[in-house]
Amino acid sequence: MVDYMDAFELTRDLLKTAMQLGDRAEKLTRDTPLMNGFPEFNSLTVVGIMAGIEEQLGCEIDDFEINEDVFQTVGSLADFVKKKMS
Amino acid sequence: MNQGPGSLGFPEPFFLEGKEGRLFCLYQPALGERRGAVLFVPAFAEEMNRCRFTVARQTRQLARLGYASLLLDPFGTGDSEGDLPDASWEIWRNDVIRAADWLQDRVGIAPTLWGLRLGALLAADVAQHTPGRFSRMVFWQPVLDGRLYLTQYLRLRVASLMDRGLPPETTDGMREALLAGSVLEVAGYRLSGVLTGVMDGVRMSDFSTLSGLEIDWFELVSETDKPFTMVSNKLISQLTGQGCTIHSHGFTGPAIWQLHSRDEVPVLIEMTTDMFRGLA
Repeated sequence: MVDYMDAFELTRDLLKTAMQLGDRAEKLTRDTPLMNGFPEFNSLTVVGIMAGIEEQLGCEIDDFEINEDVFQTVGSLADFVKKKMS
Repeated sequence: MNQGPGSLGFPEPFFLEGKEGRLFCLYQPALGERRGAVLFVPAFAEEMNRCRFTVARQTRQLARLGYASLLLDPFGTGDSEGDLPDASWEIWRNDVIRAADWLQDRVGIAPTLWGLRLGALLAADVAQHTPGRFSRMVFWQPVLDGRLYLTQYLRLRVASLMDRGLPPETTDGMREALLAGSVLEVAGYRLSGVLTGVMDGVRMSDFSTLSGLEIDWFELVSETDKPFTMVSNKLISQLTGQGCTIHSHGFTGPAIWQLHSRDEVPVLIEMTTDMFRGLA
């Protein structure tokens, strides 16, 4: 088994699982829009991704940390993940 | 109804007398020579409903291997008596022990505890409270921290309020309301502080006297060569240090406990069946 190398890779895996992207996950880049890029992206997706981050990293995310800015793009979400990793 | 040689009998539904009320159970007898018994400890709320089909398929596979199984609806859940707001962690712990006693009496073999999501945390809690009673457990995507899980569950209400344009609430505010005696509806289930107050403080990492158990731990990974979560790996190290033997099984597929449309994760059933098949 390998360790996660960076926040982007972990973010891509979280999105892959939460939105059942399958091979489409490989096409995600930092600039890929999330909130306006996937019809299946909704509030429950956000709940699932938050849970995934907490379970992967063993952290807790406060309500006030969850806002639209975090979910603009894959890159903005990866930056949030990186912050929670540190 | 007798299905004849070589075919599975229908599962037998019945009510078991629990301390607080009658508990709905489904007993799946083993086919052929009996090799063991498995008590299923369910996931919480809608997570369980989404997995019923998969769990039922797994029990049929186990029956073909010679394992009898018992599915339990704890007090206030499923078809058991009681309402969820009246349920408590302690009642559920006693329900699991009661069901384990019944299963052991029926088949004459100490059962394996098989826990799904929050059921894995409850099963581990039962083992912690009954030292030496159980020797083997199976975890399917275990919840390790009740507080974290409750936060994630309460967020469903936050999301629902947001979607409906209703005044926002926070998970902290909901916790306070629950502890103050309010009953809150979250994702179609009515919660009370009687249950959530205790759930909030249950962490598997606190089960420091859990030892001597053999645990097969199945966890969703995005690809087969990807690691378990850091938290899981840390806990696996801790439990190993306490004298437990952990077998890690990463599986890929949909997170069926989260999905609104029914899906299947055949690889998990296959891996679990193979694991049981390989037991001496």
